[in-house]
Amino acid sequence: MCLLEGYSKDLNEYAGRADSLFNEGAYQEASIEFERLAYQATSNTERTIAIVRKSDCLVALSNFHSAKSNLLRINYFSLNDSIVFEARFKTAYSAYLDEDFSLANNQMFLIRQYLPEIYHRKSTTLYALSLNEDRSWTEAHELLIADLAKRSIPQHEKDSIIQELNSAYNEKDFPKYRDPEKAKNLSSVLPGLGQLYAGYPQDAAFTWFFLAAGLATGAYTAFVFRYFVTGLSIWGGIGERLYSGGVRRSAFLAEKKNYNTARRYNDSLKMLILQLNY
Amino acid sequence: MSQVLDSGMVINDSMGSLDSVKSEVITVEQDPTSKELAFIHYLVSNELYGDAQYSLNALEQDSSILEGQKDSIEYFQGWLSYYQRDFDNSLNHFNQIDKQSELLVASQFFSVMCLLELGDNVGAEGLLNEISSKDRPDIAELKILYQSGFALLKRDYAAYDSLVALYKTNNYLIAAERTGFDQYANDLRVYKDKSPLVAGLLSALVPGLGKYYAGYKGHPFGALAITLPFAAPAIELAILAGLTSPLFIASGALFGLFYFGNIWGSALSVKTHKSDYYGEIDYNIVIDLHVPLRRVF
Repeated sequence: MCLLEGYSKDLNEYAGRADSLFNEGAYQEASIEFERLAYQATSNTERTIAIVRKSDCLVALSNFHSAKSNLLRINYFSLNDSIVFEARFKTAYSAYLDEDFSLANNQMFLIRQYLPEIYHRKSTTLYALSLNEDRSWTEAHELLIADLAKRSIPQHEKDSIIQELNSAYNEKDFPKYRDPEKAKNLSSVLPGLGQLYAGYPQDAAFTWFFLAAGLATGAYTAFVFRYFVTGLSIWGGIGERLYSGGVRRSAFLAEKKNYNTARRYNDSLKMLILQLNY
Repeated sequence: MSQVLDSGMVINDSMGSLDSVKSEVITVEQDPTSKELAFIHYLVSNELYGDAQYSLNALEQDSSILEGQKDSIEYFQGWLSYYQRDFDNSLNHFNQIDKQSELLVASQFFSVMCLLELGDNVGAEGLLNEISSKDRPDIAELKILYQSGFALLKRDYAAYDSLVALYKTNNYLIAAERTGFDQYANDLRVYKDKSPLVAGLLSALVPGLGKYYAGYKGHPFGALAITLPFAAPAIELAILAGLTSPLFIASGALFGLFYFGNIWGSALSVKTHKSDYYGEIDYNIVIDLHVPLRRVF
């Protein structure tokens, strides 16, 4: 999309310079020139175009957070549909790269709610990828199938793609979500149980081993040497450390498991979606 | 707020009329340096510090800039470093500004804050006293605010009282900070010094009680929970194994370490609490000295 078309004649010279810098790979300089355009813009459309182009520079500099913050300055009042789409899509894109998936999904939702259908298709891939990252696999699946129905490709190709999608988005394969709060609660009831729930049985076994060792040492001190208070203190001390440490660790392990399983699953889905050329 | 004049020089439009409604008017002439300075002003105002720094560095290389414009560049460099909390660098730039410059007063106030942040309170106060407020009632009021803030930092309540009596108007630009300072002055005056000896004795009676007395209300339970589990086995081993048994000596030593450590900690906590309390108020005073700079200049 040639965004320079949106500029008034006077600003075209500046825009041309900024674009040249961008094309030369001088992204930092180009970013400032686009900011200058935003500053000198006499209309909201001109300003928006400059901001969108600046975000391209920031993305090229891998400064995704700044790209996102930059785009969030846009005022959508009185902009035409193509510019609204460009701005929202770029916002979603930089938010996705910045791992702010809820903002990315929010922008995609707004595209679908307020822009004509011709823009929906252009955003399907990014929307599906972002929904995947947000663990909304069912929605991503439905979105891809719905989009496929509107594509003008032979039916047998559609059937083949649907089959691939259905296989990839099989509900049984969705990574199981381990609730960190539940893991914490389970470990509060019985040390090690939270780790077991989080999918780390070796961690649970480690906890039980040390609990048993503490109990054995305490019992030995209490019943063999007859130092009951000392025995109780030894067991209580070891138990308390394992207990409070285990509760915190259970939540951490549940989050770690969620991240790892979702990452693996989403990476395979990403490959498929990009392969299908949505 | 600052303005960029046709000459490219930045001046502060609020200096002469603090009571007037301020407007961020940027006058831009065709001179490229002036235009660039106006753009840099916009970048800094919008907190686009990276872009502003880049543009300023590029502008500094320009050999055609005028003397007044050089002051503006130094001012912006100082301003930028100040907002990025690089106070050393900020001070260096503000020090470059010509003594006759319109920007001098603003740069002096910023320099005062830089020196304060760098821990040179004496230097900051000295510079503050040098600021000329002749024929500038607004600057005079701002100066009183700063001097009263310094009086509080020195715990000189008599000086504080005499300074606040000098206010002639209720300037809205510094009203919130004036109220804040009154509150801090009151809080500092009512703070009662505690005795480390009493704190230590209380903790000897009940582990942790001295910390409660010092002002750390939640700490005694933690100290008690740590000390008691060591006390119980030591007592048991003293009774059953005897006072000369190695087991008692080991567990008693462990208990003693925590018990006497707690007493010592309680005595020290009196000083720590006082330092924390004063530190928090001093921090708030410094913040309240920073805030008007953004509003006034």
